[in-house]
Amino acid sequence: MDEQWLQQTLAELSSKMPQYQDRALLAATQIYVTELAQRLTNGQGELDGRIWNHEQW
Amino acid sequence: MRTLILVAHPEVANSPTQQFLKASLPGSAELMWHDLSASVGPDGRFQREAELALVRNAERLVLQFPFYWYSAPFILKQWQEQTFTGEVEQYHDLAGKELVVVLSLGQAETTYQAGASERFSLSELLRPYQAFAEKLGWRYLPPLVIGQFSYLAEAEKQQLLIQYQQLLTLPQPASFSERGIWLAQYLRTLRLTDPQQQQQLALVATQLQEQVAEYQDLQEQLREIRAGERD
Repeated sequence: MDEQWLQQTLAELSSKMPQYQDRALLAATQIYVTELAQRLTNGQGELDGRIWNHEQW
Repeated sequence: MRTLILVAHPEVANSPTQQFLKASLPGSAELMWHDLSASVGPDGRFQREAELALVRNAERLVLQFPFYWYSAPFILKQWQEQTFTGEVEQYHDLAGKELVVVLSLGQAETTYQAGASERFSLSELLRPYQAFAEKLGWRYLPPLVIGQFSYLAEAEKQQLLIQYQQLLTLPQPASFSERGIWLAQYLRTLRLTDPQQQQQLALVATQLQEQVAEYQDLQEQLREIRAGERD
């Protein structure tokens, strides 16, 4: 299950929520999930870059 | 986190911003909404002992107000002066609390900086509240600023609601990971009528928590590598 599944499920669940506060929580989670995926990609890229840093060999 | 929200507004009931914030309060947390205009006595005075008892009981105090002439409405000053009378030494037992300002503006937040139309930054203009906190031995937290509430788009209002809830309930300043764990915890409190959807929601919360844990591990590895690098 990846970011796309999370986003899709959050969007589907949001339409079932009658309470404004609950929809806001799901919307904020969607924004968070987008940023988290970006941070994971960036972090993984940085990790690869630092592990393969030839100056440290 | 026992949080006391001191609302300083002459007409809370007619303020869309204050009503929005009031409706945003999370139900489960130990919060107290204290409308100062409704608490002042008919003689125009606050009951000092009652106000001090509220302060004493709180771990975090929120000063929540609109910006009138670069300051809070008069009622907040009145509360400060009538509650904290006499020598500051008598308030030593209150040290260790946290203070945060929740500020609503008629202008965009970006206008409050050098070179922009308001010319001075909010950190400069809010200095008296920071000084008040520091004099009492309280930790001053970064303010939550709401610029032009009535112009916010629906998605921005939803984002504000969650920011406000996190400000009230999370240790501050909250890290990115802490905010993610908070979201997962709050997702688990939601109730749906359809059991299948309820299960999906639980799965979302679990997935989110696992991804946050993965992010934390990644950050930890990066910290170790950075610390070991020699340039």
